[in-house]
Amino acid sequence: MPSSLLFSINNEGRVHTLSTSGSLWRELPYVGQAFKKLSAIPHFLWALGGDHQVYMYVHGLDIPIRVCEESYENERWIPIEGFTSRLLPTDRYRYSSADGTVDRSTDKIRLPSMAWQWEGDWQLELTLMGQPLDHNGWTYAVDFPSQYYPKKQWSSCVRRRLWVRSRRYSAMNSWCAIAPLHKDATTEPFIDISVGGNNVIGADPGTMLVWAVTSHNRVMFRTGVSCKSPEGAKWISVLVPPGCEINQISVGATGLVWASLLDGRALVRIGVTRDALSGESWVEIRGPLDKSRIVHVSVGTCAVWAVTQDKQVWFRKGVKGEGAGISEELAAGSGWVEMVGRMSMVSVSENDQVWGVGADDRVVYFRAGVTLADLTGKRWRALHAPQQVSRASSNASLNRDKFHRSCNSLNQRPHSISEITTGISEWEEQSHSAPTAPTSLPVGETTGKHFETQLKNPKAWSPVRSVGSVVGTEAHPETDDSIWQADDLGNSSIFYTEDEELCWAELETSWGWVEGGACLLDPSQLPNWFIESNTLHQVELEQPWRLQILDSLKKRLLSMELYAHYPTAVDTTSWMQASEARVCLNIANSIVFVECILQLEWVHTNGVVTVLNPDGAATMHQFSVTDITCVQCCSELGCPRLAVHTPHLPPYCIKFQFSSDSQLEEWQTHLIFVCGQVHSIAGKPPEQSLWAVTTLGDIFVSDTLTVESSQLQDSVYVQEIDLAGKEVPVSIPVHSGCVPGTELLLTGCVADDVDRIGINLDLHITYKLRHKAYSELENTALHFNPRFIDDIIVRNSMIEGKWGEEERDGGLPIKSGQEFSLRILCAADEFVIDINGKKYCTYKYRLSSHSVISVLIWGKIRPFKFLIKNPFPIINPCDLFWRQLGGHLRRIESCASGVTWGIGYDHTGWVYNYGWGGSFIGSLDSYNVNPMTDSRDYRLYENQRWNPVSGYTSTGILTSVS
Amino acid sequence: MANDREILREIWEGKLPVCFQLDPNEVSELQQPDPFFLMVPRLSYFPLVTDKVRKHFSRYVDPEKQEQEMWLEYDGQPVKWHFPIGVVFDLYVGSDIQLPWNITVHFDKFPESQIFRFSTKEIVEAHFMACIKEADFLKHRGQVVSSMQKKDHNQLWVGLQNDKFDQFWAVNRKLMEAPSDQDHFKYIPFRLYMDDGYKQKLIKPITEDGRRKTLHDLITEIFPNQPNVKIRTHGMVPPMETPIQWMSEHLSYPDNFLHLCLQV
Repeated sequence: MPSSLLFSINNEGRVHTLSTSGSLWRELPYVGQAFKKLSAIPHFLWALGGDHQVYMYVHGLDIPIRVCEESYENERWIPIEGFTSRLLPTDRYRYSSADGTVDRSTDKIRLPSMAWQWEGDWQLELTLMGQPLDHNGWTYAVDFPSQYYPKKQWSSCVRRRLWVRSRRYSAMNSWCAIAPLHKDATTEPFIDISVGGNNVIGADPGTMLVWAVTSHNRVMFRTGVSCKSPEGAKWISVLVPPGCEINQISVGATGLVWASLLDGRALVRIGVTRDALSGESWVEIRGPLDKSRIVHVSVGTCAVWAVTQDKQVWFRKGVKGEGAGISEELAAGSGWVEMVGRMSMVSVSENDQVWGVGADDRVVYFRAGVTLADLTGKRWRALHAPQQVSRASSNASLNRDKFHRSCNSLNQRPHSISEITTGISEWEEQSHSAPTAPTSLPVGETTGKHFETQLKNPKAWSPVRSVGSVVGTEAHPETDDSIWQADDLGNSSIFYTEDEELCWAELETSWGWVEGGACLLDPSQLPNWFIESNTLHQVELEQPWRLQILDSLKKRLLSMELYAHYPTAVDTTSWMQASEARVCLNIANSIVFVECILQLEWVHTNGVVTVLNPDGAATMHQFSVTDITCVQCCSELGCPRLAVHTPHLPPYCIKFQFSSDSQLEEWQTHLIFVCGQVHSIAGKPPEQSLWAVTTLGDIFVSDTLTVESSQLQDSVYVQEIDLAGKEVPVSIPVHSGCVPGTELLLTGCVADDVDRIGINLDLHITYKLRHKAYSELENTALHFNPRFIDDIIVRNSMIEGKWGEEERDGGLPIKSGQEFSLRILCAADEFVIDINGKKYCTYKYRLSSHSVISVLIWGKIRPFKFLIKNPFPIINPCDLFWRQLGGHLRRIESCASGVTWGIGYDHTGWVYNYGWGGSFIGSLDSYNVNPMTDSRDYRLYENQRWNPVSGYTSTGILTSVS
Repeated sequence: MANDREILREIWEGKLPVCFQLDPNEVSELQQPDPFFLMVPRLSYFPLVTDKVRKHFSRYVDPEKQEQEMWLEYDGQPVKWHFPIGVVFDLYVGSDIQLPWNITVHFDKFPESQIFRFSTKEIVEAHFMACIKEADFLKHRGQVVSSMQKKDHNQLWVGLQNDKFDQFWAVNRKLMEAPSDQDHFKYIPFRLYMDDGYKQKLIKPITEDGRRKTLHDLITEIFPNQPNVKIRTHGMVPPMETPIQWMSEHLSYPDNFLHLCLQV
């Protein structure tokens, strides 16, 4: 079956079309008009715009619509003058139709509407039935009604010649406005439109019937609609029985018309035949149930379907379109049959296939199983097809997750995007020949063989609303065909800026209207539109049989408990993974990847990662899984790489390169799995988590709760560092600074022959640019320096390398050769120092104590223990374990209550839904995972330079950069 | 769609405690071997789990016979190793459950007429894959299994061998999906064991008027005159009103068949 089109309107009033040979919804170019309803037969689309005016769209015709206007110029021979245009009073018009009855003055022959264009000027027809005529085109006859001959006979008293001019419907593939009923379109706007009648028995081929309903409760019939005159001629009013308020109307292929009334009944037009295309009279039909009112009705050939107010769908049985013209019973049917399904509207096509829009989910449905034998079909099938959307559409931003660019190769750009620009420019070239409003067409002058029509204001355009005006630009037939061709691939090197791009998306659009009138679907060969979403069975969790089964299965387990000591046949608790890879161990600070064998061995509760040399003999590196703080993808183009961070173990970051992405993912999964086991991480990250994104867009989360809970003692966080056996000088990192409230406690023993010892609370080194070189300047918040020879403790600060004023008072309570304890308490604005439990001195802050990063202990001292008590948790950033969650973002922000938001590279906002897993972790451990797409543009510019010899080339002169 | 994970996991975790003992007549050493205890998965096959059993007992047997094919026997009957372990248990032991399951190990006098030879892992794998394909023919006319790649087939087998639920079900769920234009399988793959063999029949999961068939309907179709039969599978008796489409999705063995044992 040749391909045909399904039309629908989405919730924004944009018209979309889906071809039976394609699989994507394509939007008709939006030219400023949204539509409420539409009705279609193949190639002709009639729609009700948002402004309640009627618009028409002709599309997909290979042969243009062309009408040849004829005018016979008649002359009579009179003596002396010869043939002259002065005719007898009884003669026919000077310019007439072939039979002379109609005046065909060429200056009065006008284009029927703005949608038509003349193709050339009036020209003489220079052949008569195949025989060439003289160059003036005259044919001669005895009298006007007689036979005409090419040659003048002695008896020829009259002659005529045929002027022809053809006009072409130029509004192909674009919307064309149809004249409103009154000069002011808002006087009587339309509320419904329907086209059908392309199959009236015995009618002229190309006949179409158009019916409409106005807001003044008038039913209008458009006369003269045919393939040669797609807009028709004029509206005529069709009387309806009194008391009937028409709500909606539908015309079937055989011309059968059903209308639904506001009070819920229906009207059927009886007597539609080829001689009486608008029928003869109306018959009233009651609705299916007294209390439910018909709100929508759609007519096919042998099927009429209706929707009632309660969204119930009904089928009218007994309708036979072919005989409907003569038989009232066949037109009106005999009864209603209730159908399953809740729809807001239905549409029946010429071959009685039925489409509908779901009442609750606004999804387009197709009635599967409709055949000649069974016109009611079997069930509704949801239609899911991806959609081409303009970024500007508001639906697009709602559904960013479903977007994906189709631009893996330049070729895959949708054809229609690029061609619109070419269409516009070509159109502008043609616009000088565009017809203007008919009234301004000047009278043509007869000059020889042609009329020349001088157009005033050739570039002036009439406003959109005038009759036959073309809405928007005419797309050139060659370029815009692509909308109608399925999945066309075209070459295009024209790129749009990000604002204008159209993308493909699998949106779940809300549809408001579907029209199947132009869609001739063969029910036995359905196109690939029906992607059945996994219809979850109503989860039968509460069914008694299931509960019973579950119970029995669980009982089995209980009976096994006696035998728990039996070894299991399949050992699932130890396993090993190994594969070949390349590793960079950063030896001697060089980034070199060497071949290796990567081995991961998991034994019950812990794992060991071993890096062996390629023949498996020697171990290059080994570490435990507990040392891993982060497993991060660091792939570069063509090199799938994984970085494993072990901050406490040199080399601190080991990079592995794999042979393929799938191998990379496999190892990522293994490592993440074992890390998760070791750190007992499962489930949702806690609310107060740290979130991070990598340059590749991966999302990591970490939290400090376990560390915090282990440190917490009596509402302070305690970190105890055992210094026994450590050699001075000892530097202890203070991760959380010395905020007011912090206590530092040191116990140790001073040597016998000690000279001086020191405890420094150091800050970061500052770098100063001096004479084009950076020098490092130290900062010390507190330099605590007991000097045993001088019997004093000197307290001082170094600010950017310079010592300040010393404080020396207080003596020296520490005895050489003895143990001591030192307590430094950080008060609001000073250090309070106690020695051996007794207050020794205070020291006002000269540098901010918050910024202390380390404590340095030097001199002949044997330290025992160092304790840090901090009102805030003491977190070493290197200890944080980062866990990856699926997703791809550019930035991420979180807050203390756990609400986390992010922005993707495609500028879409995302919010965290408390799931975990996802991406490559997949089914192993995922929860609440939803699909997410993010796209990042990589633009490659190909540059060329023009040179006189070879034109544009990519090899340029030396200075150019390609 | 097999989306009742709780049931699927319970089925997967099913295990049986087995006590293997060597036939005393075959012991050629002075010392009687200790019985070998093992917790075996119901869903697996004996040849996959009995390597250690063989290793344990083979040195007690006459050296000439050590290389011979090992075979198992319960209650005088040779164990059909090509049935899943749970099926063998339900069939041979039935409702008279006495745990541990005492199985006798033999090396001699292979009963060729009653069980097949060459119970190697490869043969079991071939048999397993053949069952899966047969089941898929019944469910989907074979379309799903033929559209899978070799690595998917392999993943099913490896997942079963290594007792990896997620690995197995990642592929198996495709076999458990209803075909795209319906919400049920074409026919239900099942084997109904009774006497010394089993019955298979083409049974659709829904009736003519679209109602889902239950286990009761299935039994009635096979035994029109015997309404009161009890069916045992996975060591339990499912209620008669359980829909068979659901049963096929959730209570099938890894070879995608429902193995139902008729209980007398």
